[in-house]
Amino acid sequence: MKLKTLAFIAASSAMTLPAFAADYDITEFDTLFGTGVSNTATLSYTSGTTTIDETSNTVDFVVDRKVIFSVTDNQTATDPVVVNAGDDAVTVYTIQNDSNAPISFELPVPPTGTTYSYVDPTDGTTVITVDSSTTGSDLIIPLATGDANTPVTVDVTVTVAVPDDAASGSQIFTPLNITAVEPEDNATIGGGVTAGDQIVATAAGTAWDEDVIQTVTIGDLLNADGVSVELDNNQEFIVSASDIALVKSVAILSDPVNGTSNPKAIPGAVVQYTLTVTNSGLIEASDVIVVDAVPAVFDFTDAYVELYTLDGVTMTTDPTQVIDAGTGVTTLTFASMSVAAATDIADASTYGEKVITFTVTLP
Amino acid sequence: MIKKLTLALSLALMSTFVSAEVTLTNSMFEVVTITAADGSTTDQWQKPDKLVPGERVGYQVEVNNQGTEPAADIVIANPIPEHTEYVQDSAKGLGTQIEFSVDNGKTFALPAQLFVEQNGERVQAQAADYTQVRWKLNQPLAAGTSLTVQYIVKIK
Repeated sequence: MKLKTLAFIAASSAMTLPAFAADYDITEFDTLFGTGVSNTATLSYTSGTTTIDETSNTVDFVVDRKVIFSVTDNQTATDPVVVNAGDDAVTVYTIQNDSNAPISFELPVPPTGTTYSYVDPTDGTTVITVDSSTTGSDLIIPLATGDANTPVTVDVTVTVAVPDDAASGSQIFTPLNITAVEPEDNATIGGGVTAGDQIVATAAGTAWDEDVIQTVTIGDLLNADGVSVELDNNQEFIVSASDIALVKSVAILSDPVNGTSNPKAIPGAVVQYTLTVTNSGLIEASDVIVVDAVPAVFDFTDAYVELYTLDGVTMTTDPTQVIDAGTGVTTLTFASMSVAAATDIADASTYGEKVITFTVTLP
Repeated sequence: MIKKLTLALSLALMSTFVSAEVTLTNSMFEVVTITAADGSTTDQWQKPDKLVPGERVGYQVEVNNQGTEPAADIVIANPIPEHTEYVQDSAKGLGTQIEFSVDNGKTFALPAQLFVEQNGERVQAQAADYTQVRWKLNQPLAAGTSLTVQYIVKIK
């Protein structure tokens, strides 16, 4: 599980932390923004024999707005996650509003092939799915504020369709990039903000006013522009697919003159062809059909063909032979087979393999 | 009617004759942690900037005897504001005895003698349980002098 939030980012020395950052505590967000806090002291004393009571002036302020939220993904497996070509790469992100104010979160329009879905937090039942054609309010998720014991969260499921022809070992990401925006009901926030505006921190140096709600965003969440609040959390997937390769080699086993000692390609020589099929992908390849065109010089009548083997075992079914009347080239089509998956795409010794051999005699 | 007039008159006269006259001024600050180069931290009381949950607010109460005679038996009380909680060991006041209440000021005692009910059991009160803080001056406040007491709360 990856969590991006203040506590983690604060450790980074690259960030310029405001001097007061250490005083923020993410677990404390019970007092709503705009809540008035009032204090009056009292005094009693004796002058001579008289007891006198006094009351001080009252000091008041309204609690300002602290905007802080976290995004957590549901990944528990070792990074990255394996996904099959043709399947969906799916990551669920939990957005938690730790602000002392309601906050809306704006989703970007996803690229084609990616969807976001979430349950509308305002009714708790309506499932909203966002795709590349979505516009308007479906891109805005309004989140109420909770308290330290009952935080308010929403789960956003990011689904990326992995193409059927995705290459084995290629990377797929399921990013989510959200922006905190002003919710519909923030009329109490001053400064002329309107719903949907990106939430910005009250500019440093702005005079504090005990009667006006100002906004603090955790400095670490600020973007380079210094005013926006965005987070993303990227789940990496690695595509698992069949990845077939075919290698053909030829060797002369013997000839009528030299026998097996340094044989030459002369009439009557026995020639062995080897077709090696490897699967470097993480999925077993089935229905693999090997087709081989053999030079016209060979006469593929059974009299000349010595042997067909598969993994060293004589084939029970010989390949079909089609001879092109014009060129004389013989096309051999072997029966379909399956080739096991690799266990480690980075280690060739683990690749699945099938070896076909056939020996012929040079006419 | 006559009684009221008499009372008003006597109050007016009294103010002329009382010899101690103590005023009370309350101010608030933001308390921030300053980290020194060697990693040590100290609190600094500053003019408030944005105040959000988790941050600390310091209150300073100044009593000033503007009269001509000492003021005796001075007791300053301050309720912990709603939506805040007292920060342990933050109450200060030279020459005062500092006591707290957990029952909105009905009774006051030193921290060690304060108890609250929790799940039907009587347990030692924590700083967050305090509802009031009170300073009792050990000595009369001389004419023309002042004294400042303070404490810190954290915004809940």
